[in-house]
Amino acid sequence: MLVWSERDHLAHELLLFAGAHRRLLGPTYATVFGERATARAEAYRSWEAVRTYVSEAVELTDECLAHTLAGLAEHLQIQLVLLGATRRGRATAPRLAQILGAGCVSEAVELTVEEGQLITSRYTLGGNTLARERILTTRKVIAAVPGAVGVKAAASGVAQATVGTGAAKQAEPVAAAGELLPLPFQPSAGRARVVRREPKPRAGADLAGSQRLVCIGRGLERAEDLPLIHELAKALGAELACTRPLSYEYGWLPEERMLGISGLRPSPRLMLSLGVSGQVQHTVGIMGSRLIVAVNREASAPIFRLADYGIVGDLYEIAPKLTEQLRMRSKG
Amino acid sequence: MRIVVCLKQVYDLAQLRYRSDGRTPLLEGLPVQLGAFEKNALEQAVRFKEAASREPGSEVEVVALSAGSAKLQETIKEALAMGADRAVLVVDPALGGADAAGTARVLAAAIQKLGGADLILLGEGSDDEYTGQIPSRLAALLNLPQITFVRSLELEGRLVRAARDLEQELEIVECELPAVVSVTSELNTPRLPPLSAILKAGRKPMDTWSLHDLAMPADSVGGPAAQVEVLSNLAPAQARKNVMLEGEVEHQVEALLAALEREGVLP
Repeated sequence: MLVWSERDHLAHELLLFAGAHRRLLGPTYATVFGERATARAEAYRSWEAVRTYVSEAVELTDECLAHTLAGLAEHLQIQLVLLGATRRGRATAPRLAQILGAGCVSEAVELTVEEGQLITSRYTLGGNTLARERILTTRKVIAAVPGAVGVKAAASGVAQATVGTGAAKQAEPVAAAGELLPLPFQPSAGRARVVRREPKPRAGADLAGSQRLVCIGRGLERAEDLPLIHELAKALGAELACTRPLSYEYGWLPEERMLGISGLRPSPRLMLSLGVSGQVQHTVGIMGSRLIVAVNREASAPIFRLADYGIVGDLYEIAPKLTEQLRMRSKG
Repeated sequence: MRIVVCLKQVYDLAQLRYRSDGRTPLLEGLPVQLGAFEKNALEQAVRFKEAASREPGSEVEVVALSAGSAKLQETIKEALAMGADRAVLVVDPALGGADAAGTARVLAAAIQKLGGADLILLGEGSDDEYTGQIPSRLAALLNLPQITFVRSLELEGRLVRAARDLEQELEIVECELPAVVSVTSELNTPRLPPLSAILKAGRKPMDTWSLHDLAMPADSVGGPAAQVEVLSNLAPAQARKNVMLEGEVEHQVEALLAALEREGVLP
């Protein structure tokens, strides 16, 4: 099998999966492309791959990546190509699959081996259901999200098992160092050119790593009322998040705080959802929460179906009272 | 210039119900509508057409293309009302159960039968299936460059310049037409067509083709040709508690605080 992700720690996860299932998947090859590829590739030596192909000349456009990976897959007689399901990976995977005549799953949230077969799971029906799928073609292309294979590679390079999955337990480090090689062919230039890259502004805090989130939706009537929610978030020791209309449409909060299909999908211990109706494009973003509490004026709001605890009521009444109670508790 | 917008008819998921097991989605009889991402793509195409109409000597034709069942007739009128010049539907019972690879082949064949396109616009994925594979597979089949996850798009003559919305950065990419571009919902706000446009939509040209018209064998794209087998598709088993806290506001808040304490989620 062959592995690529522009995020090295994600590539590391996929390589650990390969190592855990070496008997089924055969020898593993890795790739490192783009900026600083040569320097970054050093870490790959100890990451399960028997050989890592390195090229700074491969441009990270979908077409160029797909053709380069297809060329390597042909060269090495690869049956399975595993990509990290970043947006780049999700867009590259189907083009690569089309070139190779392979079946493809482009955003697997879970990847397991069951009875000698690769099984993927991905969200469908707007995140309401999880489809378990099996690719029928001999050649397969799968893009997997961080954590999908049951291991999370830490930035330090030490892998940790995530709860409730089996793959990591089977993972054993490989002693032999893998070799680094240049591409065996000249990478083809894609027709799309990257003109420049603009880093996105970062949210002040790390929402993805936050234990508690207060998510505000259209139930908030005016931007001037935001302090009410800020106060509650502060009392709860939570970060503030929001639905798409509040960031993208109204501009009340930055998009880095937006949850949903086009925003963040964090996994906090507590998600306190205020004035959020629960459109599917949003709920994809909150499903990873351990505990969901919803406050909404409409008893029929779909959000209550997803909630552990629900209150039908006015957030303008509930939020200040909850803030007050939380403050009393922390004093007491 | 011809812009083809590939549109998918999707389920209205706000009305999704489940069987008594609470996990099996009930899709029979679920209302259908034009996909949300596709409306962003169509809106962009219509804006290019409007911009071209203000410049002498340039003209843009917008073709709405869709493949599926005869139900497409219900939703394609909305695309025509939004400003597409004509619609092409590929309707065939053999398309039932088609996967992303099959659907991409049908769309590619239809675009070739149309005589090609300068710009092909699609949503980044569909609201319901969300395989997200069609734009890239279509670009590969037609051997065209692709720009994906686009949140802003400009045309300068034959040059297309786009901002890709990636996780940590905007990537500004350009290429020459013809090209395939997939868009995100941040691209624009699709228009609501006025009544006059809705009335006119029924008079716009609409072609309906079968797989036979595209010279594609019936068994080449539907369920039997699928490359991916769905083993099950269920709502996740982790059931939520669904406890509603009733009573006066004071009581509700106290009950919530007690629950949060019990669950061990407070700082």
